[in-house]
Amino acid sequence: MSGDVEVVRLGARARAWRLAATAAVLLALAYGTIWGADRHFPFGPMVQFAFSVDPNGQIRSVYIEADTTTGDRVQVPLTAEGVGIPRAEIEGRLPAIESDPSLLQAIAVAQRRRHPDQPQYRRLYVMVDILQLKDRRPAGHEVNQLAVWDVR
Amino acid sequence: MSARWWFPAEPVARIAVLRAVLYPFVVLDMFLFVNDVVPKAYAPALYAPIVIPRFLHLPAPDPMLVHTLQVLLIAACAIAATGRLPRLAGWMVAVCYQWWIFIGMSYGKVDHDHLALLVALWVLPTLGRARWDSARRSEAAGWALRCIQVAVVATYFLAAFAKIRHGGWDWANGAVFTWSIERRGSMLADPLVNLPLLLVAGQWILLVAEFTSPVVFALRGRAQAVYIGGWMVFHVVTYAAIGIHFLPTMVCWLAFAPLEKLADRVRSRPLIGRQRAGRSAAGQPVSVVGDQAVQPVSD
Repeated sequence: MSGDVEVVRLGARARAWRLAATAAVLLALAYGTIWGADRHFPFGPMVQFAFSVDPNGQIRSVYIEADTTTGDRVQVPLTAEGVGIPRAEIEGRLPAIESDPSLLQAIAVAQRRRHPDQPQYRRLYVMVDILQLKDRRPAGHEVNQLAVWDVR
Repeated sequence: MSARWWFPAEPVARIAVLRAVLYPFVVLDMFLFVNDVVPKAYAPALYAPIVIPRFLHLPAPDPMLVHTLQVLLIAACAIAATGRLPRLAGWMVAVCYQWWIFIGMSYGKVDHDHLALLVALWVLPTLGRARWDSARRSEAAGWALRCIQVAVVATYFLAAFAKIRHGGWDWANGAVFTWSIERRGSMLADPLVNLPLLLVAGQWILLVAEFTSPVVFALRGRAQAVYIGGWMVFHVVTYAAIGIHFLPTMVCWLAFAPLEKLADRVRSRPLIGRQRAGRSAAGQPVSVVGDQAVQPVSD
């Protein structure tokens, strides 16, 4: 093959639609960044860790516990391999779950379907672990219950 | 930004390599990262469709739908990765994967590491056949690569804006790193909560790095590679500390790399081995599919 490289140019029309598509996506991203929210995915703001944590504030971690058919109280694995519903999704829907705990039925159903051989859930507790910060350092834990649901 | 900037003449072979990397990655992503779409389809009560799928009236996911998407995606990715049917298989991947991701993001939590990969999947089918041994450069390839590059940088650059919009200018002086370590820190990271000043310094460095990320377009060659390597290190450290990997974005940094050199090497080097192996086995040179240089021997 010879040394000179063949360059394939784009026609005016091919350029025009590409530029139009590019501009549309960039505008949508700009809109999402300034006014949008997560529900505008994939154009919403890139809010990974985009919140301020008060150096003297609290750090809340939500988790779910369950009374099982064998009488134990266990922590519900909020992972893809566990009940298939990640913790962040529970936290994302927390207000809805607090006002309507029946949404937790989905977790018991998922456990039944995905792990029929394991002990099943009879009662679910949504718990929150609150860590108090003082001058950015941990200064004491507190655990509260946010919602309870008796599995049907 | 001039219109010409969007249409650099780039090697077509780079698109071929990118297809061979990104399409298999989509399958990996489906099974390792956005892997809760199937289990979620069994928990329909928690489905809360985000704006675009609702606007498009996409049906609520059920096991039948998500398994169908899965099969279509695997098949289309397998074809597209080889460079065959680049448009048909490519559009198929783009549509199905976009749908897959829409489902994954419709349960209360949205991830932000998929923008560049989605853009890549939508622009790759705009080019036809791209061969590994192509010596051509094309503006169509240049536009596709540029779009992926911009999407990668936007992921960081816009994240800085989001931090200021949602966290205020206090963000970098807050305790957000402490928060993330406390909630999901590894054994490696846990002791860091007792070094708050180090964490604050890290927050400032991250914010400045995100805001200045477009600088990558001003860098060339080695400087650019070192800069991109810096982000790779950041992601590896973040993964070790809090288990967040951002691989779908990381893999798209490849759009900056001179992958066509890799294509060169794959074409030229194994050739020697293959020929030798062929001769010793059968006494005849073996022609390998796609290996142009072998062909003339049989003439």
